[in-house]
Amino acid sequence: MWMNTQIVALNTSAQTYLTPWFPKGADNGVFTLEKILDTLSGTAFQVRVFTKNREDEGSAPGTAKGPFTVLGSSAFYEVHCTGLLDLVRFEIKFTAASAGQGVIYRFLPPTWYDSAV
Amino acid sequence: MASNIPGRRISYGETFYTDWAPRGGDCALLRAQALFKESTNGTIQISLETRSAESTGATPMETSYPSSAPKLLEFAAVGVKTAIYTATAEATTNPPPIRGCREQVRIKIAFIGGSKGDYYVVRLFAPVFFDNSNI
Repeated sequence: MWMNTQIVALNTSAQTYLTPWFPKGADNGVFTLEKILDTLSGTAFQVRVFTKNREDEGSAPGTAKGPFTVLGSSAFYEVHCTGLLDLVRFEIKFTAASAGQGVIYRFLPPTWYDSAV
Repeated sequence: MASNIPGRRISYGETFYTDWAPRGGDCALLRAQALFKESTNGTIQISLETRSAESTGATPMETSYPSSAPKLLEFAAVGVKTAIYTATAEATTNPPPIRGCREQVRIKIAFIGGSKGDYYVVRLFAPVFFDNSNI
């Protein structure tokens, strides 16, 4: 599990950040994010999963999965990804209405599994 | 419960429990997959139970997600589902049902409704334990 991460907008431009690549644990994965505090408005905060093979060059393009969607009215967001390649990482995108707005969130350990049928 | 429990056939009328295992945190995320369904109106209900180490009983837990009854994992079709148990700030001496884990947890799996000959094939993924970060 990753410790709480805080991202704060320094301006009102659209921001995109990427985590490091990490190896997949199985062909499929369910990823969970807990949003602890959000001072952005509406749907300005979006997280997706990207996947690529080890031999693929550079950060782009990769294959996008997601985005995370909220579980009911909880603070938890989930995305269910199948057919993952060798490496996985998260993309965090957000746009603030004013400087100083931000989000505190954390990722929970993923559930990895291979197809059984 | 550190690794996935392979697919198992759960038949009409059946209820079983995993062994007790130590909790890994106050909160838990329970995830399972229904791989195959052979039933018209039967469902599978999967839930967590908890107890303290010195106890011989079992206390059913209720989920914070889903937030409406039944507060557990319920399958009426194949697929992957998630249930979240987030501990409240109160002490664990509250009467059941409770949402936070005590020292030990186990998983209950039950076939609900349906008729003779019905079954599902279900597998359980390793629970994800975590602690609240802002209580």
